[in-house]
Amino acid sequence: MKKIKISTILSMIILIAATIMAIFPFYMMTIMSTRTNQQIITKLYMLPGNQLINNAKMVFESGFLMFYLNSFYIAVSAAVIGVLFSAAAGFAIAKYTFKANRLMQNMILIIMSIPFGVSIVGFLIEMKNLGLSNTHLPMIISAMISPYGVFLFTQFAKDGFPTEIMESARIDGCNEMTIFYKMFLPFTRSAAVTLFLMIFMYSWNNFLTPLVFINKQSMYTIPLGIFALGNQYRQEYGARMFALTLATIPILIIFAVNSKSLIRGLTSGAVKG
Amino acid sequence: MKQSKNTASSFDKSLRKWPYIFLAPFILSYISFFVFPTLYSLYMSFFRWNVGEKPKFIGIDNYIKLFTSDSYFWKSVSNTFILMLFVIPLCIIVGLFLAELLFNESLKFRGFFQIANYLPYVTTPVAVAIIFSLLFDQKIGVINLFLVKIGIFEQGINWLTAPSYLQRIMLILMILWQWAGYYMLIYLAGMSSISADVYEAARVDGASRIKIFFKITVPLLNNVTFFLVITSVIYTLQIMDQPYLLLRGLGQGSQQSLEKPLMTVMVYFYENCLRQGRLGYGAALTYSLFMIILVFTFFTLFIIRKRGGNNEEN
Repeated sequence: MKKIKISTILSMIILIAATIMAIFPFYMMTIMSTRTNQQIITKLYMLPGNQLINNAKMVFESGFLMFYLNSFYIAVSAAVIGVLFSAAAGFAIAKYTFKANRLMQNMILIIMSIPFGVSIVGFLIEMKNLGLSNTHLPMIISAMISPYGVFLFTQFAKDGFPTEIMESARIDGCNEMTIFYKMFLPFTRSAAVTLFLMIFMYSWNNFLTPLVFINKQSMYTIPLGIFALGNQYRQEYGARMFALTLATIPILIIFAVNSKSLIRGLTSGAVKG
Repeated sequence: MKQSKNTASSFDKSLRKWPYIFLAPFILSYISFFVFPTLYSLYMSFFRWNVGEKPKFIGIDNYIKLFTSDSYFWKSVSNTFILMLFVIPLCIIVGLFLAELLFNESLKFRGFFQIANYLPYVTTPVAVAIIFSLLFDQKIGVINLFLVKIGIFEQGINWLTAPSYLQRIMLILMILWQWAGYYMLIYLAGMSSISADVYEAARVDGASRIKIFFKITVPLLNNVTFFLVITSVIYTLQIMDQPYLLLRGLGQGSQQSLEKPLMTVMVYFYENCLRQGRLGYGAALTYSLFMIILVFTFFTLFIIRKRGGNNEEN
């Protein structure tokens, strides 16, 4: 009995240590964002100071709010479109019998594992020729296409959405589009939330696509803004840290609150059933 | 009777178009924005295709140059592999260990530990790189201060200009910090799908926790490990954001940065092809990387399958 206690205490200590290590950089970042530059470079402060307002001023003057809005609307558009496209495709694959059905299921698994990098040079030329460079569309497009999402919805639809419901709805005179919108989407809501969060995260964090396509400061997204701001205010540690805090903390909160959905999404590929 | 059969088949007929309608948005966008650019990249890789010049067909010259005379490319490949060979095993060990500690229903604050440890994973890599370069800073970095305090260093060092093994360690630690929580989550999910009876039987037999972990948990999680290794290989070979941000944080000339261990394949691709407008060469590079990924994935698959087979025989 006593032995079990000791091992529990020991694992508790290790877990606390790991958690502190996981959170500590965020803590330091927040503390530094409330300090002056002078304070940051002379001494290690562990408690907040009173420079938050000044740092915030410097960050907002650089147009950071704009980057925020850009990132937000790009991520939301990509996630909404991505969820709708993937849900429709998953619905078709799981709930209809048609010629290419088997082929589609296998194709999805294969294309899930093709790395994005291989298309990027061609994508660059394609977007340029379509006149879309220096718009946000390349970012929305590259984030919204999610073979993984199709896979996720196919699994969900197979297990969770009974075909009998569709049949009785048809007898009641519903057409297929109505079944998709009014029944399938609400029914697979949890898959939708999961995929929404995953695409949102991908888009919000994406650095390479905006780096390649955007060269107007007013169109920067957060990662690009942080990067550019870093070069512009190399020595302004406090302001840079405030910008990082602003960029990360809200997302961390969203994901902490929705962690169940995200965890399900992250793990469903790895663990069957 | 006959009539009802007719309506049924006409009903089926009216249904026949629907799966295609539902598939169309995804398929069409996938083909136009992934398949097409991918094939177009392949086409471009056979040209000297520089921005501002007329593309000139040169056959497989780009590939020949890449494989035979571009020593920086091979350097970037080896940098990426070194990174991968450390990061993946470390993430597996740390993630598995944390998951084992957390896999205990009665543990207090279980949910909190779980969420706190996966937060680094959802954080923007760009932000992570900047925070870490400050934590590792020569004068004000916590890590340097700590290492000086416990006597490992006499004074703080500049990690980014230090000998290359220290630069590698910095990058590896940073990525480990970011990914360990993700591995932990995946392993936790794997553990909860192992039947409780297996553990019960082992405990009845008097097996210790350590023995249960190595003899039961780890082998039963083989498939999960397999998934993690494959996806991480694909991801790590394409890593760019974190090393690039560390590299650019230095503000050094590009010739100097080519020598850096932070120069991964995708960083090299961006710095030396995309930024310089050498698109044809860049396309050849990404295709070569894709080939390397493919070969390596199959290689990993082969090893894992072989070892898995041996385990079953034992």
